[in-house]
Amino acid sequence: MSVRLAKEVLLLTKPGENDPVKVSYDVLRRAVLTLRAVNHKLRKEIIALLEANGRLTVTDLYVKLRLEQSVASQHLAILRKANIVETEREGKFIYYKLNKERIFELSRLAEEMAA
Amino acid sequence: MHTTSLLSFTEENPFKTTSLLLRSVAHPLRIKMLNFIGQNQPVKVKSIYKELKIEQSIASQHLRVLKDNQVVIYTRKGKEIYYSLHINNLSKIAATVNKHFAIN
Repeated sequence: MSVRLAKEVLLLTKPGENDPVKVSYDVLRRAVLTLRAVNHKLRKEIIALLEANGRLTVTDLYVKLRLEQSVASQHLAILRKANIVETEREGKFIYYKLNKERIFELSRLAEEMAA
Repeated sequence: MHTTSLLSFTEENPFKTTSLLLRSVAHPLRIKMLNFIGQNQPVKVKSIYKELKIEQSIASQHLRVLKDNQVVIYTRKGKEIYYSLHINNLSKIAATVNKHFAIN
């Protein structure tokens, strides 16, 4: 668990309304980190491979992408932290797969913001 | 170049635009600025940096980020520039982010 240092909350009161709409720094930060996780050339390639193959191990991924294992693991960790990929263990193998629901949600978010 | 149908990445990446917009607001000092502007608008730059006890240059830098992302609007009166919230844009950010990222 990370320590939360900022407790800031943005308060927005629309003209003619009494109760402000609130949005906390934490929630904004989480949104930014999730979008940044997706918005990266190599991580997009990882997402594309997982989409095409269903599920893959770290080894599958670094071989396909011609990366160092440590680099692949690092980027998978970012995607996992953002809840964009999930892992499942089978014997000694750990498979990575997409959290499609989360990705659809991100697409909806981008659409809503652009609307 | 790889593309995915799930995320439908194109040249104009909607995630990038959204990401920049959210990053403009997701900053403790800028949240303080926005709250102060919201309570006192329209506000002079001087009032903002005095209230938050920061250098004028720092305030201007952060105001530029807010202005470029259209979460504040400004009007010029003589030599002074006054800032107000772009309440519609900010409300949309708040509603959307709370809907998709709030933890209950």
